[in-house]
Amino acid sequence: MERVMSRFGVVLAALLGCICLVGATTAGAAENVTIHAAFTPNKAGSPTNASGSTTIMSTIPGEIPSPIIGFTIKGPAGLTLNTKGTGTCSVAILEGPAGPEGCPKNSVAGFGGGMGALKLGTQIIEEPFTLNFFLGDNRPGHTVLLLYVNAVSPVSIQLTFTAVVEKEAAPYGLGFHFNIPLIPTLPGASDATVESAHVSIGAPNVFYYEKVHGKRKRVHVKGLILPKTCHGGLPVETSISFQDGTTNETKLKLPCPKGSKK
Amino acid sequence: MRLKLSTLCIAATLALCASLTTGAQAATVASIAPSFAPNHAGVGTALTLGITFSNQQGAVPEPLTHMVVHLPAGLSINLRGIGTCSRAHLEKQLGHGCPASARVGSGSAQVGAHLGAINLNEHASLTAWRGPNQGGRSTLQILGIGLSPLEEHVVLSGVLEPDSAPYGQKLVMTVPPIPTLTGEANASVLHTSVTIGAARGRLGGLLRVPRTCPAHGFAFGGDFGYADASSSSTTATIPCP
Repeated sequence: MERVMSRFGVVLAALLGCICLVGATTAGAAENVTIHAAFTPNKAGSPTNASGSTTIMSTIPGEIPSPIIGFTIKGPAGLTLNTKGTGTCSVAILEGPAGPEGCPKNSVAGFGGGMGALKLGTQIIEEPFTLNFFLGDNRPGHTVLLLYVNAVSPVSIQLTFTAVVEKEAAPYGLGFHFNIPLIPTLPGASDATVESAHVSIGAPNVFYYEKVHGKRKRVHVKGLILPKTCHGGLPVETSISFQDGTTNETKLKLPCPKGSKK
Repeated sequence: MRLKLSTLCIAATLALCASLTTGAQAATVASIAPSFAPNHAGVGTALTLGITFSNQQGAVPEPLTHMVVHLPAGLSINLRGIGTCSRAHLEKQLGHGCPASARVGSGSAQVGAHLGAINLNEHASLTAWRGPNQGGRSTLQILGIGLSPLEEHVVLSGVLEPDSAPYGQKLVMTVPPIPTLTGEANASVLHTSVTIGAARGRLGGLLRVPRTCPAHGFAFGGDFGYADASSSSTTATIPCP
């Protein structure tokens, strides 16, 4: 039973991960994916919060979406990541007895949640889940994101995933990719999947205290910083691969930040 | 056939668990702890009111949306010489530029939010200010400022109104949402303590301990409303001088 729970959680996590920065509706062969995204505040050269939400529905009535087996998210060129003042967590801590509460508070990168599902016979069983993002490595150019997935009822799930933040080809900038294992749930049942999710990463108003030369100093963690220039919008792309062999690609352009130069 | 039956049983059990979990909603409750310093009949005093919110299942309490604080009959409130500061000024300037005479107290608060699978707590400093009268009634505003991990500020506004026995007046306050991150839950007040007035000095005459005391002490009460539309009430007394 424990093995089944873990598998279900992995599926959930996989599906959740797709959500981050995207925003649009696309119809794949078997899934309709709707994504909304925003930068708040949307001000050129300023720290920001990237939020996104998604709903994934099967095109077949009465069916749950196919499980996600991988996804990629690419942010706009010029969007930078400033990790000064942050700490790091590790997979060992997240999977240890302390769980996410054991991570340094300044390693928190974001939050989220949503609704997962699996199908047993003709019955669809839904399960809410939460997401926590932590920095696994905060060195510039070597940033690692840790994604902790937690679900409580009806099945207890705690899983951790890792993604390396990389530089993507133009017109994109930073991006990351998660590989998701294919995960069965119960004998005779469908693999688990995600029906909806939301994610919120970074914030413009994060401050931590650290000791500098013995004195307590308040440090502004800038995190995600919007570009100062923008040409017709900020391009964001997501690519979600499903178990049924389809891939859903979503390209969108978010509004140019206020005060940005063309 | 056995496999199908067991599968259906598991499904039914999981569904039942899900419905039970959804249906079980823990209530938020509050307790108040008032005190006078000093507590002598008829003298100038500092009133400290501590309020603690808790969830009966140990989770983060629901965000507070409004509250009514009932003050004991006979508590004298003298606003002579007390200036005023507008809510707009407090929100934009965080108290800077407000007349010093408008500041009537201070305190602190602990707020928290359950984000994802972790609890984030934050300490906030509070300052209390007299606001402009509304409809001829005195107002009190409390500016809360949190600095880490999220830099946030909120202004709570309250109107002083007549109350019924055993109380004399009540402070009716609205509490704005305390945002965290886009799409995430608002923060909740876990504990707060505010002191209004003083025994001596500029605020020495603002509040005076009632000259007479009921048998069971000075009565205080609190009615609290929460974001999930639930509410709770509580009472407390300060022993007679």
